[in-house]
Amino acid sequence: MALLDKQSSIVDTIVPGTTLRPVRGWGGGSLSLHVGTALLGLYVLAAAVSTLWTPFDPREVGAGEPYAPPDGTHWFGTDRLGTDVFSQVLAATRLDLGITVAAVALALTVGAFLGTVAGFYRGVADGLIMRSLEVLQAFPTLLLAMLIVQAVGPGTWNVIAVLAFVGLPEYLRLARAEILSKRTWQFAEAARLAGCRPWRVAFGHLLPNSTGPLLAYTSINAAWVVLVTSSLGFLGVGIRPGEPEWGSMISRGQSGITSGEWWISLFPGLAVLGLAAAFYLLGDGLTDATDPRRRR
Amino acid sequence: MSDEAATVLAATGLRKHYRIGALGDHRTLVAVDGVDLEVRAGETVALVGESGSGKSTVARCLVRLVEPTAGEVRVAGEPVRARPVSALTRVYRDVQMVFQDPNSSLNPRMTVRAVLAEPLRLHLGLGRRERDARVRELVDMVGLRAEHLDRYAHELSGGQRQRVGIARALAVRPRVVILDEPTSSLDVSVRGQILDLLAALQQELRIGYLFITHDLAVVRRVAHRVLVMYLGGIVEQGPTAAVFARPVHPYTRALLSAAPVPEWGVRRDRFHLIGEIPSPVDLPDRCRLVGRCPLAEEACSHARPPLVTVGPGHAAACPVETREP
Amino acid sequence: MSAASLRVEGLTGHFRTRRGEVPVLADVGFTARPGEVTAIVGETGSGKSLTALSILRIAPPAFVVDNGCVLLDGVDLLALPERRMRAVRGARVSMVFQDARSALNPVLPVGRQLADVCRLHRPMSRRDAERAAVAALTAVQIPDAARRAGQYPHEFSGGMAQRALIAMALICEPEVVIFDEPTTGLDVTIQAEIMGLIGTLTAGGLTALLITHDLGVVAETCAAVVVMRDGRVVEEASTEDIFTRPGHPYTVQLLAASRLVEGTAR
Repeated sequence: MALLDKQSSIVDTIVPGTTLRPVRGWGGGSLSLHVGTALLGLYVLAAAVSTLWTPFDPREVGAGEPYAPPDGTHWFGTDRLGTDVFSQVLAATRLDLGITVAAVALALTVGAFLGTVAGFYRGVADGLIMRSLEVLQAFPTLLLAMLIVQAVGPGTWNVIAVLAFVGLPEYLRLARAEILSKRTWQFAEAARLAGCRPWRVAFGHLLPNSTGPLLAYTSINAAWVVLVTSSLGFLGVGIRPGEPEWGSMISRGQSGITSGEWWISLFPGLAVLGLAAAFYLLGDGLTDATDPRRRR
Repeated sequence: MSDEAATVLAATGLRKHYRIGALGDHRTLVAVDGVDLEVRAGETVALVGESGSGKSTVARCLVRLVEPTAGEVRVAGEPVRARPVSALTRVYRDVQMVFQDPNSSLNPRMTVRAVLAEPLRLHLGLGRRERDARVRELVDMVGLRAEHLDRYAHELSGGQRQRVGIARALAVRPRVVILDEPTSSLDVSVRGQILDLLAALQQELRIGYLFITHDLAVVRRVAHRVLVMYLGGIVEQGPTAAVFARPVHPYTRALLSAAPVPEWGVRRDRFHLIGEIPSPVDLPDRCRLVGRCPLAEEACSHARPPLVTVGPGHAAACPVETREP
Repeated sequence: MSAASLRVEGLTGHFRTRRGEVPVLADVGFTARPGEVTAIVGETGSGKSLTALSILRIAPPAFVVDNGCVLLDGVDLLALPERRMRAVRGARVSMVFQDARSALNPVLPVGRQLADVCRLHRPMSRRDAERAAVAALTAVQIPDAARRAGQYPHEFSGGMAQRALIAMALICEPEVVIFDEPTTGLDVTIQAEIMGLIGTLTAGGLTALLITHDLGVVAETCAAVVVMRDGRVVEEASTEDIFTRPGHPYTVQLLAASRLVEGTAR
């Protein structure tokens, strides 16, 4: 059974590992954590606000002059059809952020569950899950996402499902690795003696102690989902035509980049960049917070 | 120790083998090789051995945290091995365990209260109010205070965590507790306190203890009887006083003579064993000490020597030392 | 091996943490003489390991020395420039760590590791260094040293790995060797062998500093004892005095605790 290394004690012995220990009070996170959270908060706010109000109707053709550059009325300018770009960017936040959150949540839940099953029960279940995973991971992710979306047809929920499916292998591996290493720890044995049936030891004791790397990965995963969603939109795959979405907006404004109407592609592009950056910063901040070598 | 004290834990012929090696190259690692032991109510039996002796594996086999390869285990008379895994939980009401490492034996995300309430909820089905009352009782019993209840493991000292481990083991009022090196990870000044606590609890609750340790000083202090293990088998057993005063098996003698004593001017005769402990893989059928024992003779290599009585309750597995003069 | 005494005077230091400065060592001072083993005893958090690391100047970067000196034959090690300290570390003062198997590099053969240490401090050919490595392994009573030198650390048992680490500490013939809990995790029979080895080495004139929490080992092998608690030295005396006439109440407590466990048989 695993014994923790007894380190020559210069300072208090700190339990090495990836347990997110309950910390009393606000830990005082790093700059990345604060900036990332703030930026993400901004997007959430934008998405919420856009359900109630946008300066102009994002679908309204001719709200302003076509190809009007940014000015006092149209902060981000207008596109080919005279639709306000700012309103479109704002409205698209719902879709892009929504798909991201849903896909990550789904991948995290299913991945962690399967990973726990594989790591705890081992044997046939583990073999089956891992071999299937290896087949899945043999495909390049973006290509796989595109192909499956083409196969199942367009639609927001389809996109969410596909992105979750393509994203879950990493969660599964992380959960499985954590469970494998922690299942021999003495508190798992103690839980068994305390009356927990094996499944309760796995899901009630081991999994909650393995959340560190999983949560740290969600931000990387989320950033990836943002980029892939926009990529799918850019390629015209998956999203219903007419739905405001950053990727499709970038696509429509492509020609404008060289002919002088830079604002049509730039602002949605910045929106994608900003959201991905927010997730990466958040991820950095979270990794710092769960660093086991941090003194309390 | 009254003769009518009930046997709370008994094992016969306990064996644990591991198959190792790749295809076509099968070797057997014998971790536990035919161990018999018995613990009575209110008695402390020590299982002594060095690393690699198999004592921790024995502990885990007794409660089926590791599945034994062979042998019978009875807790309070009830067989343990015959049950399906789902019925095993019932057994854990009578036998409990205190673990070695205070750092990893408590769930880092649970408060002391939650740790202690869990067995009460799962084993005894107690309601919220009863649990709270009992938890308070337990904490008091092990010398902690109510304020510790809402702390997490990392907010307690090593000694305090071990007390929580003991309280958790006692929560269901088991008949026997297996203690796997409970004081090895603790500072010297705390060790005595924990041992005192355990002794007091044993007196009060008439529990049997199977005390697993490598520390002979601890054995001398707490154990009524001692079993000495080497490479998976018991080489000597008997009342602590007898074994310590007149060790028979060469391994016991080597062990006792090697343990340093914190007293000035103590000169002991070292009984030396040659070399280092061999690998437990594919052990030949002979006395396990052959190759290291200075007294080894031809007879020692014929077969695994059985335990032979050398005194009241005292037996040793050495054909040379137990020979009739 | 020439002899030298090691004297620590007034060593004071703190840790730099997020919450400010945490004092950890206060006015630590003691003397270790050649030809004997001086024990530093204390419990977790007493500062004994940190003191040892400070002598060699390999304490964690967060540790800052405020005051004090470490005199090796009169020369203050704490005042030396790093370049000159490198020549001291390993060649004049060396250290044996706990847990030998993790202190050795798992991807290099043991003999090679010893040879590397040797060549670091003395210019010599690879062949000569390898010979020195085998000689060092033999000196620490490892049987079949030539074959063992070609093996990797995981092929060594715990006790043998500890001996190899001692060999590595001795290969440049230092004057002072610091042993940091060298027998933790080793069986009592192996522990006795290792302590016997250390005794033999000091009889040859080495100055040895033994960091331990085990008073039994101290009684058997050490000539002088330094008792530490909470970053301070509470008592320094000969082993005989410490055991028969302990001065400080904490020493009394420590002895009682070790012996308490050594109670009467049932």
